[in-house]
Amino acid sequence: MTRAVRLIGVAWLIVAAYYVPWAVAIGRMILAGTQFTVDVWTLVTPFVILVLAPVATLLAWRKRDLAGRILLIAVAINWLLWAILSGGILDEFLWVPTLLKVILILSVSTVAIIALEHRAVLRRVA
Amino acid sequence: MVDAQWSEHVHGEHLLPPLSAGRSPVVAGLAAAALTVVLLVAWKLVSGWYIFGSAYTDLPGQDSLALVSRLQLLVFALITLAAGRVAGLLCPTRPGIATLIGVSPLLLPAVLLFLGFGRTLEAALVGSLVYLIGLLGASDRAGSCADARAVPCNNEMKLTGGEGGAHDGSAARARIVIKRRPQLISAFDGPTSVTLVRTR
Repeated sequence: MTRAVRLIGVAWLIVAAYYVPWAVAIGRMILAGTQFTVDVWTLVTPFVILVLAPVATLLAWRKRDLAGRILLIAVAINWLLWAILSGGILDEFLWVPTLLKVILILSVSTVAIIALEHRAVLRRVA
Repeated sequence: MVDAQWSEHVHGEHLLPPLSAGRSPVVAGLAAAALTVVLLVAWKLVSGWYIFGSAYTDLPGQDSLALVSRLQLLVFALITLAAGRVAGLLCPTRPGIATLIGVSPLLLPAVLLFLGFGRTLEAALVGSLVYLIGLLGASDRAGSCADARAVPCNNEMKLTGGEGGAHDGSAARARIVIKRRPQLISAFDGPTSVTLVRTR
């Protein structure tokens, strides 16, 4: 795994760490059967980050580079689609919290860097 | 001789760590743990100094304490990454154990703190995240997957020189047959089987 992809993995792990308290609290509310109104995609996205980012790291550690990269791209694309289609982040970009802006930049860079690197590797092999 | 040639070739062109490099995982882990402690103490001193100063210099609406507390997670992650990197560099053969020992000054307090409050799930999540960040640091070996893929697809490499080379003074050509998948070449974490076959 290249250095750029590794750093992207670390960045997603840090994002996952930021989401731990929220995810645990929401998880307890769900288990307790508390009623709240949040759309499913918004509810699922932090859990996706919390599960897929560590799994991608583990796969990278086990030398399953391709699977790790695909999972990181899945995390990034899920977040981007959520932010654009469901979160409405682009409608009010300047007013969203700093953490969300950081994740937006991280999502875009994840997709861009991994796609470019993959293309470069394919060219080199060819 | 095969190892030496292989090592020379690979180090020269692909910058992989030496085959025999490394200390024991415990020694490497303790060194990384010492670095972790030093960095944690340094962060504590710097943040303490900044917060103390901010009590006198913060303008209305400015909250340096909140800024430091938000930055704390990022700084802890970077310290973990550095500790894992040192552990992985000192012990490339068993980086997992070395990293576990290396990040333990951060890992143990975090896990014990959550366990002390009866939050087992958070303890497990935070503990695994800290360890994984350390592992990513430890896996930052010079030989990346892209480098490994640069090896020709038929797993053959040409070597020059070599034991029992051509007697006419020309360079001996040989073929190395690698018995593992190319992705694993860079790791050197197991018995990579390398066979030298003279072709000329």
